[in-house]
Amino acid sequence: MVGSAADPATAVDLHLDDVVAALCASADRSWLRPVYLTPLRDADAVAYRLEVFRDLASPGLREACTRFAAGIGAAQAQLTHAARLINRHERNRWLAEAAMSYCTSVADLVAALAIATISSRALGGVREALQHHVDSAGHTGLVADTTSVLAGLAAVTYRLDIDENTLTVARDDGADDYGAEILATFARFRQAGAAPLPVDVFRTSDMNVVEVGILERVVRLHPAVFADLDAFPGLHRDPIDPGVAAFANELAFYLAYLEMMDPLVAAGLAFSHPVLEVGPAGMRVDGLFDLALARKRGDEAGAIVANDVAVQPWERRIVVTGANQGGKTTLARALGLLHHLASIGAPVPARAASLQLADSVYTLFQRLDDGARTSGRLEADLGRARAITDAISPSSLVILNEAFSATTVADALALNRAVLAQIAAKGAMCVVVTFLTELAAPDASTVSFVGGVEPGEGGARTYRFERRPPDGMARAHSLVERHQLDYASVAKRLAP
Amino acid sequence: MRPGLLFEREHDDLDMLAARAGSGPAEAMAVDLGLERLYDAMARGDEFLGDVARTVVPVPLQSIEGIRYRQAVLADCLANPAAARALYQVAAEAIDVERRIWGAGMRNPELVLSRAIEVLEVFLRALVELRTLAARSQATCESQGFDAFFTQLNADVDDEFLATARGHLANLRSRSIHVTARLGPGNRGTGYVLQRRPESGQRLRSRVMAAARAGGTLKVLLRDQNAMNTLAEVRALAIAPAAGALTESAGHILAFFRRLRFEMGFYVGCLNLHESLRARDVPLCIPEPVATGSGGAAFLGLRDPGLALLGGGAIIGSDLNVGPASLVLATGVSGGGKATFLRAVGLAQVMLQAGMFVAAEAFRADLRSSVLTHFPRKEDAAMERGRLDEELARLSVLVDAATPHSLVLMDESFASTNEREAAQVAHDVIGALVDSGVRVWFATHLHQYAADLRQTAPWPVLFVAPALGADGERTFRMTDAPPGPSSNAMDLFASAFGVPDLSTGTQTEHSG
Repeated sequence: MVGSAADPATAVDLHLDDVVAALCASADRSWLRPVYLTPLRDADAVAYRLEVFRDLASPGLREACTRFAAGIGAAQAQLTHAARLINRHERNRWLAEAAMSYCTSVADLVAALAIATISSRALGGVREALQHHVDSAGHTGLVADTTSVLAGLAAVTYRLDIDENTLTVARDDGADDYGAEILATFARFRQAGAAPLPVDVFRTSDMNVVEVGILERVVRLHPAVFADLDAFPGLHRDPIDPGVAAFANELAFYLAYLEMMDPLVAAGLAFSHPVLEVGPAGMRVDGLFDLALARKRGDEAGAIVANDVAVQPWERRIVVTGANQGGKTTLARALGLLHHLASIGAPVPARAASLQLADSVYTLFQRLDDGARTSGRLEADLGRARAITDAISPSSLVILNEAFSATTVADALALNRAVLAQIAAKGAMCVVVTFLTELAAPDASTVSFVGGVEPGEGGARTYRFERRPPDGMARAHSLVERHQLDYASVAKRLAP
Repeated sequence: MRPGLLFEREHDDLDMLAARAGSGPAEAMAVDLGLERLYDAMARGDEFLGDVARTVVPVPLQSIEGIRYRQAVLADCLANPAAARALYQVAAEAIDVERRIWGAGMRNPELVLSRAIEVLEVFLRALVELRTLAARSQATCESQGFDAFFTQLNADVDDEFLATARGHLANLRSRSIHVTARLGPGNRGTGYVLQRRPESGQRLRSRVMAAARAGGTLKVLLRDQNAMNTLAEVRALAIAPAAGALTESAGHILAFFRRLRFEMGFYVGCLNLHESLRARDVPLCIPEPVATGSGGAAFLGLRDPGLALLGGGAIIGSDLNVGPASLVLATGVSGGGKATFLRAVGLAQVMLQAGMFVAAEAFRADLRSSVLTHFPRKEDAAMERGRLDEELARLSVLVDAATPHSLVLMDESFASTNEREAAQVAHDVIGALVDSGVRVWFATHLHQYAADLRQTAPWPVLFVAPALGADGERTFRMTDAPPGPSSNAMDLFASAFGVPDLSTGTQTEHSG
């Protein structure tokens, strides 16, 4: 069961749109966009996808799948290329190459699946179906013909003697390698790092007439090989099986996501498979980070501060306060992305996470761009708040970020309280980023998270949030400790 | 073949050297010690020599043998400066001509091939020149570095090599191209392998006849421009391997000349600096490296060569033997030359571990893994940071770069806060550094700190102060001395207000 795609404004606010754009960056993956954007409504559908991710956590199997998907893609590209060629020898060769790419990819995957530990329903089914396919007479014939025709072509060599305007094609009668001889003469000067100067060799995209002329003479030298090649298209016009191609396409959903994770995992960030509950539940997340921010940081993603968030099932409102530029919005985004990604059956950016399966995530963010039309904006924000409260259920997550801050503090407080009451009435979970510490007033359903500030001059932000009553005051500490120049720190830093 | 004049072993690569020389702490050290003035004297207007100095000098050699190796090569250069400069010149000129032949980014294989032939001809001539220079100097050279290099040069650039190389160039100058090929993607030719030209007309004719039977000849009309262009495409493909082999070969020889220019560039820089300092009557000695941990520096007549290069009169040298002291604490009158003294010590250590001479009558020191400095900075790094914050940030970078065998020179550190706080910070930081094995030289006004150390330091501390002349005047010479009870603040007060100094009873001039 599949819900409707994520709300577009929410996707922008959470930077989910950037994440999905990156996942679909290559042209043939654009069809995956709605898959990444649409939450699954039932826990089994989520489990079905997570099972595949769990199988693909084995590096061997994942690499095999990546190679398979790339190989099928290459075979398709070779077929497309062959279709527009005029020279028969050139076209047939590309067809045979496409068949070879396809056969090799399938054979490699079958071999990998045979030795892999597979527990997912999806890949288990594929293994069975694929084994069937490769055992079929059609496929074994394709493999035999392709291998033999290409082996013949690979053995063909010839000699070219080029003068001012004549070009002679002859049998290659025991060649030497004069270039290697020249290199050997000068090898005594070899230094690390010297490489041949790259030369630009202009090649037309199709064979030019001289190349056609050469090839015709090469054909004369090796008639049997080319007779086989001429027969190939009659036997195997369309070598790629549509079912196999469809599987390769679907694999892209998993592979693209894993590829996005790789640099972040390498940088020291941890992903995990979420434990999901249907209906209102508590939340326990360790090492939560903002995926969108981590991706922007590139090599420094490992330096991103991760947070732990734990709330009980009856705590439906998380109020985040703390110093400006202290990571409040980042934490809210991270929570939003966490819920969305969990709902599409993907690993989540946290070391461990158990949470409710969100049917939808909505954001109401302060808009910074149209300050001039304050009254219009307030109206629009309220309109959006209304639409959100109408749409949500107890399984939804709503994120308010400095909402209604264009008005006076008293008005903003009143509006926030009113909207929060509406959300509470619907039973949805709610994250409120605000400078209005009053919103964190203790009651059983509200928890307060506060961003930390380093002691000392300047008050560097820790980007770490603690569950405690709001404050806002920085504590004083010595500069020496901040620079880790106290005796113990220096001694430790110098320890060999 | 490698020159091998800077390093005895081969694994030191120049990129790594440059990265280490360009690291933050190394650059801070260069600024604090005034290395730039030395580099200028080494460069003497040759920008390349300046870059070599910047890359080689600040990266300390880590073995006594490595230092002795360079000292020996340098001694040969000092004994025969003309020959050393000539070696540098041959390499520099070959590189220069090479650059002029190539011109701007040119990728056409036919042109690349013909230019590569031209370049290799220039290189072969330069190699012969090197061989001649080597033959002339080898008898008088005493260093292992030059001996090995010259021997290698003689063996590699022998008559047989020159004949073979010239033969290749002659073969490739011909317009006809001979290759073998395979069928690549789309059955288009690929994998071109260069073949020797058939040796005689007889064989060529028989090959063409056989070809005509089996494959065939394709003739393009010279006046058919389109067909000739197409043939040129195929020709370019076939020439590419020859162009590749020759440019790669030329690349190796070029890299060799670059390496030679770099390595000789260091010694030519040393020659330049030697001449400049000699002209200013600065005593120079070949220093003695001893094993790490076998005692601190000992020297006679140590001077700051940077100051000497500025000109302006003779500089008085300092004598000192640090012995087992882990901390050298320089106290005493302001303007007495404490900072200059620290710079002289730092520069001597750096030059020792670069394999250079040192501005002293004699200098001995144990090897240090790095020389790190913490000197006051005039520019107030960031307005919002506060000065102590800025100072500590730099110190923290220093600690990151330090190892237990570093030499750390600190000049008036922690002066940006009050004495009590400063003493506390100094106590912590310096205590931890020295306890970890680091040797620290600290020039300071923190007299209470100095007095406390005298009572309680758990390791040997050497106290030094500017020597005063017989009449109590500054001599800019440092000598070992117990710390005085206070700085010369009263001195300065006295000199500023023109009243007799209470401590010495004489009237002094404030000198900066």
